[in-house]
Amino acid sequence: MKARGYIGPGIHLRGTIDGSGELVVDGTLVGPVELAGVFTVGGRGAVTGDVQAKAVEVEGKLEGSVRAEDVAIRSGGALYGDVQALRVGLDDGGALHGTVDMDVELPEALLGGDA
Amino acid sequence: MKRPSMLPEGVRFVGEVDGEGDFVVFGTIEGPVNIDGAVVIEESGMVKGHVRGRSVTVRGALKGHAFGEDAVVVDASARVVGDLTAPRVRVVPGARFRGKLLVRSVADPSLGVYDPTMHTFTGVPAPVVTTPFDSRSSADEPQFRTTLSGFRAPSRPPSRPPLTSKSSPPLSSKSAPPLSSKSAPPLARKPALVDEPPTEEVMLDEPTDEQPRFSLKMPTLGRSDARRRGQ
Repeated sequence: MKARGYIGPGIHLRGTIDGSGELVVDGTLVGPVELAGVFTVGGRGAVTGDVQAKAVEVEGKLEGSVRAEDVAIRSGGALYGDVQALRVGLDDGGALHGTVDMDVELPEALLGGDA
Repeated sequence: MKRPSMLPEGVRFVGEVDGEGDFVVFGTIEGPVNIDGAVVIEESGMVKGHVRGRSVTVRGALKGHAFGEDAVVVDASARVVGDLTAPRVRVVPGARFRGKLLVRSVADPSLGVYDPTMHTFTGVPAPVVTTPFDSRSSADEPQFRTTLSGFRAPSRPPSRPPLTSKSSPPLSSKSAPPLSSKSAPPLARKPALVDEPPTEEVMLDEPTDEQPRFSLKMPTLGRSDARRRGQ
């Protein structure tokens, strides 16, 4: 069991993050993230950059496009960017400014033509 | 007490780190670290870049200078290539270190003007301190002295090549006296060191492109859906 990484509120990172494991950012991060694990923008965190991870949780502010299996925007969290995910959860009080792209299987009857 | 920041093992950060609060590195950082707090590079941790902190402790690998407002500690498991600058510097026997020891305040005017963003001194050239402790009064820092003498006179196998490591035999050479030789107990305890060439060079496991990069298995999302929508 690997320890969960943590970037505290006073820490500023400018650059790229990649690797595996869990990471919580309560500080500021400017740059892309590629993580084979859970990436969390903490309540005091501010992240600017595209995020690709197994799962993404937004409790603070995230600006950038997100690609993950699971995306969860918690109450108080704000995501500015497009989301591509299998599952997206938006809690009451969370904000998402952007498009969501999930794999939607529509019934046959609704296929073809315009809405 | 503020929760310390921690970069876990398996995570690499390429860029600049600054701010305040303690910072513990188990993973890899490529770039300068400038923290108003304690910086600890743990055994699995690697930093390629200059590190400045209120204190800097190295147990892993550091390629770059270490500046400590209060202290720099190079622990027994550490491998450091770079200069150490702090009012108090401790090098624990067993550590592998190549660089200058500048035991003085970072604010010492004789060092020149310290540039915290570049982690360098400009103006007055930094003097090379060759024997900084021999002239000191022993009442000064006795604990220090003990540590340093342990570091400066490690027992070595007699057949060991001279310090100029460029002429040392290659890794594959069978004739190379292994570090695990019985006459060098302090260095030989760690099995990780056994295969290293018998030189004073500090071997840094620098991250390379061959490192296993993770691949995120993602299903092709929305492609078929987009096609359907376009109809």
